[in-house]
Amino acid sequence: MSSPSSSVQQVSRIEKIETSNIQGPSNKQENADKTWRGRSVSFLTGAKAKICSIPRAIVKSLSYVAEDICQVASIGRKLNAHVLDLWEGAGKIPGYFSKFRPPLRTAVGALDAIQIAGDLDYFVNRHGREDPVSVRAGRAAILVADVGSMAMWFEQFGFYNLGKIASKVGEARIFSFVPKLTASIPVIKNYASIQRVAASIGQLRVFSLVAKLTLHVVAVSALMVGYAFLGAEAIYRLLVKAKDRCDKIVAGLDASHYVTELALGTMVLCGVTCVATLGATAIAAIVLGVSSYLYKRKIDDDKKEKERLEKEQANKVAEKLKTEQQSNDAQCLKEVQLVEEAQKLADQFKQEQQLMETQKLKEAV
Amino acid sequence: MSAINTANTPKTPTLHVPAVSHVLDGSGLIATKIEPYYRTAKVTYRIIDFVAAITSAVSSTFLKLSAELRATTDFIECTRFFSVASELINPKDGVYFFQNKKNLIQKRIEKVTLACHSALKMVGAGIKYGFIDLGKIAVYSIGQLPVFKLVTDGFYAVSSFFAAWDARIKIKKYNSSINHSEKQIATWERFYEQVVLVQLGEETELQSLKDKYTASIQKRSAIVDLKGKLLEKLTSEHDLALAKAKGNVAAVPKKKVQQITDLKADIQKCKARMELCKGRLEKIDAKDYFGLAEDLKSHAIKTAKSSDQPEPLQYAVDSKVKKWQLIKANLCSSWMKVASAVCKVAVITIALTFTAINLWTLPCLLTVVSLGLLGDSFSFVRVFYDRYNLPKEA
Repeated sequence: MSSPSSSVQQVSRIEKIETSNIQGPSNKQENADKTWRGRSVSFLTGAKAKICSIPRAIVKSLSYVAEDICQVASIGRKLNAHVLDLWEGAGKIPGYFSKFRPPLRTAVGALDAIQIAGDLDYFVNRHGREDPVSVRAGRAAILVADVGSMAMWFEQFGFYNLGKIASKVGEARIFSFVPKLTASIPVIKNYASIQRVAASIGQLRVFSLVAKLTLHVVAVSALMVGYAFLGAEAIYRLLVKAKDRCDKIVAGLDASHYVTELALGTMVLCGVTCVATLGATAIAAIVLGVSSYLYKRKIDDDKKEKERLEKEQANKVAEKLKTEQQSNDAQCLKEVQLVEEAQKLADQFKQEQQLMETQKLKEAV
Repeated sequence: MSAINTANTPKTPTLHVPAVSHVLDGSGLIATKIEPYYRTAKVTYRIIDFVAAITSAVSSTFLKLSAELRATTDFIECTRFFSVASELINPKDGVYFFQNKKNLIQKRIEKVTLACHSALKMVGAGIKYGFIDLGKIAVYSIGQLPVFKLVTDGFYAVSSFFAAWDARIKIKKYNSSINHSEKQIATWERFYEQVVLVQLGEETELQSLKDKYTASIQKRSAIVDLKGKLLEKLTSEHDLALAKAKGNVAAVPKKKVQQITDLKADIQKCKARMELCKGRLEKIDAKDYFGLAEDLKSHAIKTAKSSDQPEPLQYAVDSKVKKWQLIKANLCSSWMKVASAVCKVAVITIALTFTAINLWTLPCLLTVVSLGLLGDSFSFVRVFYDRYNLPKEA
C-alpha cells in the first residue's frame, strides 16, 4: 500500500511524464515495391541481358510498324507492286505467293483509302500550325493523292464510274452562255467577228484534260509533289536546322526516304519497266522509311523513359530528404530523451525508496 | 454533383463546332492507328452482313465492300501478334508484364491466350496462302469443324472469358472506390457550405458546431482521464520492473518506456484537440465568425495538401470530383469490356457448335451475326471512350 506522500509524488511524476516531449520511434516503411522494381529492370545482367534484348527489340520494332497504318500500307504497297515482281523476275518466287498478292492488294487498298481522314484532321484541326510551309504544302499534295486513292478504292465496288464522270466533266462547256449573251446584245450582235469569237469561246472545253488524265496518274503525281516538298524540308533540316546528332540522323533518314520515294515514283510515272531497278528502289524505300519511323519512335521512347526515371529519382530524393530530415530531428532526440526519461524514473524510484526507508527507520525509532 | 464543381475544364476546340473537331480527331485516329481502324472495319462489315442476313435487299456493291473489309481485318489480325508479344516481353515503365503486381492472374492468362490465338491466326493465314503446310494436323476435324479452327477460336474464347473476369474484378474495385470518392466529395462540399454559412453567422450551423465541439471536448476529456489512469498503471509497473532490476535502467525492457511515451503522445493529441475545440467555442461565443471560418479553412487546407493552390478549398473539391470522374470513366470502360467479351464468348461458342454439327439455319446465323455486331460495337465505342475520357498513357 502506498503512503499519501508517495501517491502525491506519483501524481507529480505523471505530470512530468506528460509534460516531457518524448516521441516514439516511427515505423519502418517496407520498400518491397521499390526493391522488386529495381530487380525487375536489372534482373539479367551482362551478355545474357544483351542477347535476350535482341529478340525483344525485334518484336518491339515489328509491333511499332504493325500498329501504324501508314507504315503497313506503304510497305504492303511497295511489296505488292515492285518487290514481289523483282522476286518473280528473278525466277525464284514460290508459286503460293500468287495466292498472297490479291489479299495484300485488298488490305493495302483499304488502308490507303482511310488516309484522307488523317489529312483532313491535320488541316481542319490545325495540328500542323507550327509546321513549316513546305511540310504543309507536302501534306496538301498528299491529301490530293489520298482523295484520288479513296475515289479509286470506292470505284472498284461499283459506287460510281470514274471514267464516265471524267468524260462528262471533260465535255462540259462552261462558257456556252457567251455566244447566247453576245447574240442578245443589240449593238454587238451585228458584228460577225465578235459572234465568231464568242462562238469559239462557247465551244471551249476547259476541263478536257480531266478526261485525258487517269486518276491514278494524278494521285501518283500529287504524291510525288508531296514527297518533293517533304524531302526539301528534310534536306533543309539536315543542312541548316539540325543541331545535335539525333536531329541530324532523323533529318538524314527522312531526306533519304523521301528522295528514294521520289525516285521510285518518277520511275513509275516515266514508265521504267526494269523490274530489278524498281524492286531495288522499292526495297531501299521500305528500309529507309521503316528506319526513319523506328528511329523517331526510339527517340520518343528514350525521352519518355528519361523523364520517367528523372521523376522517379526526384521523388526518391525528395522522399529520402524528407525522411532523413524527420529522422534527424526526431531520432537522436527520441533515443536521448528515452534514456533520460528512463534514468529520471529510476532516480525518482531510488529517491522514493530512500524516503520509505528513512520513514521506516523513523517509525522504528 | 453540386453547382460549385468546376472540374474538367473543357478543352478549347480548334473549330467553333467542337463536335466536328472531335469527329475529325476520331477519324484521324482511325486513319493512323491499326486498332481503331480494325474495330471500325469490323463493325462496318458486320452491319452490312446483319442487314444482308435480315433482308435480301443489300446491293452487290455493299457485299463487295463487306468482303473487302473482312479480308482486311483478317490481314490485320495476323499482325496483332507482334503487339501482344511486345506487351508481354518488353518492360513498361521499367516493369515487366508478369512482374507488375497490378496485373492479376486473370489478365495474365488473357494476354497469354490472346498471344496464342494471334500466333495461330498467323499460322492459319500461312496455311491459307500456302506458306505453311501442317500436313495431317490440318485435316483432322470434329464433324464439319477443323480442329485447327477449334483451337484458334478456343484460345480467343478463353482470352475473352478471362478478360471479362479481370474487368469484373476491376468493376468491384471501382465501385468501392466510387462510393468512397462520393462520400469524400459530399464531405468536402458539406464542409465548403459550412465555411460559407459560418462566415455569414448562420445560427443553425453555429449551434450544430457548438454542440459538436462540446461533445468532442467531453469525449476527449473522458479519453484523457482513462489514458491517464492507464499511464499511471504502466508507470507503476515500470517502477516495479526497475525495482526488480535494482535500478539498472538498461535491464528494464524498452517496450515499457515506449508504451509510456506513446500514451503520453496520445494524451497530448487529445488535449491539443480539446484546446482547438475550446478555442473555436470561444470564437463562437465572441461572435468572431470570420476568424472561425478562417480557422476551419486553414485546417482543411492542411489536410487537403492544396496550400500552394490559389483557391485551395475549391481545388480540394475539384480534385476529388476529377478523381470521381476518372473512376467513373474507368468503370464504364470496364463494363464495356465485360459486355464485349461476353458477346465474343457467346458468338464463338455458338458458331463453333453449329459448324461442328452443320446446323446453320437462319435464326442461328442471325443470332451469331447480331451478337458479333453487339460485341464489336462495344469494343469500337470503348476505343473512342478511352481516348476521350481516360488519361493518355505515357
